[in-house]
Amino acid sequence: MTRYKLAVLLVLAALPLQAKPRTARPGADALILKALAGPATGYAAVERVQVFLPGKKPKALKVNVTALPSGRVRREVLPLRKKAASLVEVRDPERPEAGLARLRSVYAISVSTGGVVAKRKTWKLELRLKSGVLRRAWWVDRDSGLLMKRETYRDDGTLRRRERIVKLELPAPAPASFKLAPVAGPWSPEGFAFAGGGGGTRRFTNGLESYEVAEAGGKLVVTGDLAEDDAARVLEAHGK
Amino acid sequence: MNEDDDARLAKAAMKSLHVPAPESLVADLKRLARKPAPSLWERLRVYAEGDSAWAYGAGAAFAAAGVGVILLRAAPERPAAPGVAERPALRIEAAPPQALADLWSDDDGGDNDEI
Repeated sequence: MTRYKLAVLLVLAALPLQAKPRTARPGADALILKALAGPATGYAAVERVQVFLPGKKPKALKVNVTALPSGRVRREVLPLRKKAASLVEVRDPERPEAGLARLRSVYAISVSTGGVVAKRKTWKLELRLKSGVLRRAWWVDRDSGLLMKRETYRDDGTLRRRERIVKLELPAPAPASFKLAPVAGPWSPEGFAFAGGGGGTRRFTNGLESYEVAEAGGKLVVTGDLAEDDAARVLEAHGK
Repeated sequence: MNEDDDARLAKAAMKSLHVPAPESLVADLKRLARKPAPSLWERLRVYAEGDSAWAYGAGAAFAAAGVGVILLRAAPERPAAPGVAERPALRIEAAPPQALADLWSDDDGGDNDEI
């Protein structure tokens, strides 16, 4: 081996030492706790919610999201008509440990590299039913823990719903509090409102999807367009 | 002297003052009258090529419009200021189902950031 070849080999061998060390992949539980706790600072974001109904055109709406460092979030859905009133909901986060326990009771969870969403590097969480069916995927901001993107899938693997932050200001200046406070009452997924009921059945809708809470044989049952963890949380809330 | 005499004298004075136009001038005027009027495009081309004030004004207006379009497109669309609702706000929890249904619009199904 000539001296020249030896020098080239040494240089090639030294290259990996110069490379930036990869961020260690976090554990699934730690990442979920971080995602459920949310960022420690206030932020402002624009979120796009898309619903994919089978055999129909996708539907979407835009939400202005602002959050306080405490985790309280204000979501304002802007109507299509300019003069119409916007719809607002204010929510406090759930205790992260309670959310993790529910998710763990329903899903097997794995972590992988998530790519970039709204210019933020993410980790991807895959939440699979015990049967192996992929039900949810979450993209979590590596730095702040903010949930940047969420997708929900049907049993056949087709996409049912996507919630994605399309614009983000983090950290963002936040007021001491919002004008509105969270509404007391049983929890429902974001964007859903009580739509009526009767005969022991209560129906909730977001204008496109819906679910029902009914009493059958002395037990509460949830049916409709909800993922298993959301259905479990609705049951918990109505059972209280 | 009566009025008729005055008019006659004035007419005679005018006749004596009348000088026929030069032949060259008459010919030029006739040539110009016979020449067809330039078309609209021809007039526009002359305006555009020339150093007229019109050309400078049109150029300045075009440039201003271009700058205006660029500035409008580049203006960042900020999310609503935290805690401040610019328009009347209604609680989602109290919204009628039809108001919720009216929020949704057709979408391309894309998975992109907002530009």
